[in-house]
Amino acid sequence: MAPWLLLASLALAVVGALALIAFESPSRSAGGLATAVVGSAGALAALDVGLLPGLILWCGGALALFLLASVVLVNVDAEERGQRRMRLKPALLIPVLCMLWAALANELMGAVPAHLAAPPTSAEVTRAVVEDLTLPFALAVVAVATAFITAVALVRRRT
Amino acid sequence: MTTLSDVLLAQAAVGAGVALVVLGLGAMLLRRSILVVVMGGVLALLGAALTLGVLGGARGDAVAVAVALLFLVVAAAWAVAGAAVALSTYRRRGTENLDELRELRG
Repeated sequence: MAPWLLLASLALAVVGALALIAFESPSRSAGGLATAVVGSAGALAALDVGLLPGLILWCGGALALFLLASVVLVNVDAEERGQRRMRLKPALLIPVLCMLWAALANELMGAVPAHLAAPPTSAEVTRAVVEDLTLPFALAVVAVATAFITAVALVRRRT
Repeated sequence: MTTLSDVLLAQAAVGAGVALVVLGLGAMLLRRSILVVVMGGVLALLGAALTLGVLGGARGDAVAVAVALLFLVVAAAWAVAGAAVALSTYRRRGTENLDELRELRG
């Protein structure tokens, strides 16, 4: 484990997530999402988890670029500029989010074992995908295909 | 051999993953643009994948890491469908702002 890489990646991920909320422009929000993707992939790479960092980098990066392209197509930057961009008062929501984080993080941090096991290799993860999670992955792939077909149908429909 | 700092680092990674989930939910609730709401959903799913990946790595559990991959696939479906809805709404109504769409509906 490389501690500096892990901490830097985690900081990058959280800064990107904050940028997604805070920036006025949706294209900058898409940049924040891409930053969070890179940070998450770096953190998992620092922990030596097999297969996941590369897939997060490629799939998540592709998703962030896809959403950035959508922002450019819709041209919402010009539309949103100067308008009130928050739907709720942040002062109302921030304490709720902090409490939610504290509750979830408290439980999940306790799930980290006192003695860390060796992280699974790419071969073990792939075997788990094929042998243990066949049905969920098949359903998820069907969901992606359905989303693509629906997306094409929606975008091609005339008015 | 596991040191205390390794455990603390893994816990910090779990905390950051949960923070991504919470910030993604916050973006979905706070922002008015459909596309930013979709991005918030992707961020929340990415945070869930990060949390599961870190916990699976710490416990040596390959199935947990595989479930994190499943979250990525779900995020892809969500992003494609959400972007299509945003583009379609913009073409039909001339805006993809959630508040303005609510006003148009009456």
